[in-house]
Amino acid sequence: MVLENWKRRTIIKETFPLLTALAAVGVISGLILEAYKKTLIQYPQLLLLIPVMIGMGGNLGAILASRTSTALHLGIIELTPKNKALRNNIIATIILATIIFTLTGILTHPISQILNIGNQLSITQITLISLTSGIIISLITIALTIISTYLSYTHGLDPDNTVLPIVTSLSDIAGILIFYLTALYFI
Amino acid sequence: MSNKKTQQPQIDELFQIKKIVLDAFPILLLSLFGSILAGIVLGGMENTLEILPGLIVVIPAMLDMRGNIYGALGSRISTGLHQGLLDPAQLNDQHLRNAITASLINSTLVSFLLAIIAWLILKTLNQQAIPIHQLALITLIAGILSGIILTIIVTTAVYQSYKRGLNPDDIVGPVVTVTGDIFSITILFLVAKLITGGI
Repeated sequence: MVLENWKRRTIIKETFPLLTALAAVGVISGLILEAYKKTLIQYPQLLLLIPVMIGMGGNLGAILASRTSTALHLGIIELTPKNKALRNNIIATIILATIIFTLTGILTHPISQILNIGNQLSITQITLISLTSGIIISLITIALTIISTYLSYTHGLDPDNTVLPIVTSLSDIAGILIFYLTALYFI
Repeated sequence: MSNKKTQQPQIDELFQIKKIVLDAFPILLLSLFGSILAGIVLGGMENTLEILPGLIVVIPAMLDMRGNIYGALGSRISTGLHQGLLDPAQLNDQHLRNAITASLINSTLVSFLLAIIAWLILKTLNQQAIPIHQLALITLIAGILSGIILTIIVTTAVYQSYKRGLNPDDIVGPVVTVTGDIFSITILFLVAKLITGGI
């Protein structure tokens, strides 16, 4: 006998609507990319940064979200600015973002040189673009995570099921937009 | 107050900034590595993106979908192993087959729908786009191919880590983030070239 929640039909029925909705939200990020395609093709080094910009906000959000919701369940965290556990989590997320996005800039420049992807932007420009947009993205991701965790919790939903899809898809859009605006500023 | 005192060491231990940073850093670093590899492929796609208007629109969703579908598959299999529902020594199992085919069906349907949604929005906004059948064929074939590859990678990673006494739940996330981006972008790129006669 196959268990009910391991039936093909059940699995698809439970996940398909959310997956489709997330794909539709992903199209918004794609439209932003399309709108800025000229700049991206003119500076292919920026293309190199895109998967990082798309993924990393979500990754940071995922770590913060799962820690925050576990702590909420355990009753350790209250969502107030004075809560030490929450504050430490936020500070840690910002420190991680700073390290990762600095590394991104420092690593992508030599790679783009070696593989002949482009050399219009200097290592300082790429690192500044990556770090500045990364910090802004992580601040937005933190806000999104806390707000959606709070709203799920007060509405009686389990943050473990709701926060992650919301944070990853929305931080994508914010990530692409901020990345582009930051890149324009430093080019 | 006394309650607060007894809780304090636990909080300090769980939520020390240094501990959070050290716990999360290796996984983020791995995922950075995967994303940079995907970025290298994307950086080499500039010509393809230029001659195929509309293709770039599906890229963020294709990247995210892989994680959403195959990350979920991995944690489902891992739960199944933990519960004893799946036998680590036996891959020929109805539950496992169901979970895998459900993921592949999801990935096929959503990839196809993604192309339709993206194309309709592009047309509504009066933007240039390649014909709908080309875009749909590209995302569909890329969705199926990268789905098969990621299924093999995720299933192998979960079963192998379980057999070696590691917790597959800790392995699934990093494996999907590192391999998902790179495979979905590379396959999308190759299929796009194939469909439009570039290869």
